[in-house]
Amino acid sequence: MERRQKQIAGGVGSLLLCASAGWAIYDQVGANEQAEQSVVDLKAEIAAGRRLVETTPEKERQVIVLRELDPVFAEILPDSSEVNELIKTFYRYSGEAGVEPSSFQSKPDAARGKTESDFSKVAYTLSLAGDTFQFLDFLDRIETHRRFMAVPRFTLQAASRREMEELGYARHRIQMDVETYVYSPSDLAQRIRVEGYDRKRELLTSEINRRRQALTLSTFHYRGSRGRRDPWIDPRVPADDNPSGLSVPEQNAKVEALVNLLGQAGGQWDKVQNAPDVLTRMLLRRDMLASLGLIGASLVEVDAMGLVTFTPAVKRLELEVRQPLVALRLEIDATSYVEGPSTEELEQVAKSMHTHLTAGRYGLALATFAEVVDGLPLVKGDGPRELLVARLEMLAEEAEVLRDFEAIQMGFGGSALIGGRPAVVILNGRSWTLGDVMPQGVEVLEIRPREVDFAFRGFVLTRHF
Amino acid sequence: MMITINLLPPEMRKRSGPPIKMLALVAGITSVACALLTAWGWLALGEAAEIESRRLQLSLEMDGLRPQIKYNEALDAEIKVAVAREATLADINKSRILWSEKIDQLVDIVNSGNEVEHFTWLDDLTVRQDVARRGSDTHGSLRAAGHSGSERWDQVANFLEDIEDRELTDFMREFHSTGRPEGNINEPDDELIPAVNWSFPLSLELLGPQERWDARQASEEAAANAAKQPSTSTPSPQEKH
Repeated sequence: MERRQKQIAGGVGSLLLCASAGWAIYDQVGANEQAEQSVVDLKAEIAAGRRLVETTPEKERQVIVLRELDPVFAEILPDSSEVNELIKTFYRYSGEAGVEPSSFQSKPDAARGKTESDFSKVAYTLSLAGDTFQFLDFLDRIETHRRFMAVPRFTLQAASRREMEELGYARHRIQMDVETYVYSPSDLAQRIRVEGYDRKRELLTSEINRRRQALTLSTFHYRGSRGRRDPWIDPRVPADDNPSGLSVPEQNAKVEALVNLLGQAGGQWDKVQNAPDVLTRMLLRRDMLASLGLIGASLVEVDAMGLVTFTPAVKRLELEVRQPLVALRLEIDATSYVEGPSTEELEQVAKSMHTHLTAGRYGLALATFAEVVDGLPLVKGDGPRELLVARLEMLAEEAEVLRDFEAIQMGFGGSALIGGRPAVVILNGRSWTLGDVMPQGVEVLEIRPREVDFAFRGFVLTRHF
Repeated sequence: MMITINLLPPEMRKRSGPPIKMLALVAGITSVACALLTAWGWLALGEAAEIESRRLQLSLEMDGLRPQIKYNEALDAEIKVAVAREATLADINKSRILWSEKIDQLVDIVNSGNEVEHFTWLDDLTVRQDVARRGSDTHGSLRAAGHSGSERWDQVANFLEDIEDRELTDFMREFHSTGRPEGNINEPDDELIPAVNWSFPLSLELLGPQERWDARQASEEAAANAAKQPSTSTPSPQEKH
């Protein structure tokens, strides 16, 4: 029995041993599989890491480019210490542009604290007064300021006609919001060191410049009013402030004609400069000076008779006729070999004065003379031109005497021409005989029926009644 | 029944051994146990060690790679912040309209009528640039109350035509179309020239920031191309009229 028990015990023990060994194998297989899996995972991690590391050079390039854009941000956007400078800038710009500010109010940033950003908005509402061109100048200075500034909202209320008449200039009421963004980078301290930064940056110069260019602020170059009328000013003219009675289209047409004439003169000047020979040049120059003389005479007429009173037309006349005419004359003078007005110009002026004198337009004749009088002393020593100058001076004197003589009031009361008795004429309620000198220095020379000859400043002048 | 009785003294008797079957069984079990132990030994000491050795090798490799990955991730984080910053500034820049340019162009347009094609002036101007809300297509507007100083009320249409005229100015680059002309005649004032004038509204809706930016880019590109070919340059307002 003891033996039998031993056998059974031995058998059970062997079975247990086998079972334990089997379990140990099973456990070891599981552990090995797990270890194998961790190896596979590690391999995958390494592969992924390698792939990630392969992108490092590209990321370094990106970081370098982006870091190099930082000065652009700092250049475009103010930092928090510069916010007060804004007000000083507005003050300076308002003085330079000529607008009159009446208030500046800070506007709270509605988005502040809601989103995390390196940019925080700073906004002001400005109220000011001025004409459109002053406002445009102010606006342009703000929008082209070296720091980014935007105007997202503004209103302009035109000055009333009455206000314009009282002040003589426009004071439109303007309210505008101006905003900018303060730049406070939060990641500067956390930046990792890039090996060989300077060398790598050198290789990326063109990319950096391209990206900087893309961030450059758009600008606009405002070139002033340029003779344009303010659209927020009522341009209608009072009906009683128009001595010539010309309508707006007629005044515009007159200015248009002068603009065209000046354009032709400019074309003629180009031809003069490009003339193939001296003779042609002389002929072309004569024609051009005749055109300039005509424009000058027309301007004199326009001024003397108040033909252009409509403000936009007056401005256009100034901008497109008077100023270019002066510029053209200066250009011609600069290329002229002789000093003072040329023979052709003097001839043209003489002809024009003669025409005015014949037509009884003494004031216009004098105004035409005034166009060249400053240059007359320069012709001294040039025989032919001196003769023309002498003629012009004589014509001017004649025009002056005739104008003054015409201005003398002579109320004709009748005349008596009786044989054997001295002839008598009644002027201004008094009788005058031959040789009498009237208060204005006019001497009675001869009396005929409804006609009297007078001596006035060395000239014999006849007045018809 | 026969009974066999062994009467030999115990030391003389024939010794009886374990049965053959038992022996075979014991031997079998022992062999299996040995085989199993051998297999376990191979798994535990051979294969597992080999795996562990590979794992250690890979761990070392990973340790070498880890600083590079960390460096890469740091670069990534910096790129993310900087790109967002660049995009924000670009958006701010894109959404800006240079109103000095727009108003200057409007002045050009008003003056381009030369008081013949149209004779226009304005009472006010309201400009509002909005950030579009979700589901809304409104980006802002420009509104003004205008007057046309002429009996010819078709001059309002001339003015709106000039506003749309891309050869005259680029004013409409940032706006949707002007819409249809409307107007009301005002009481004639015989003390002024011209006595008759018509009131009309000017109302323009802004395009979205991206559309405005694209339009601006296209316009600047066209201007650059035109500058390269001076003979095909567009006429100025004064030349046109």
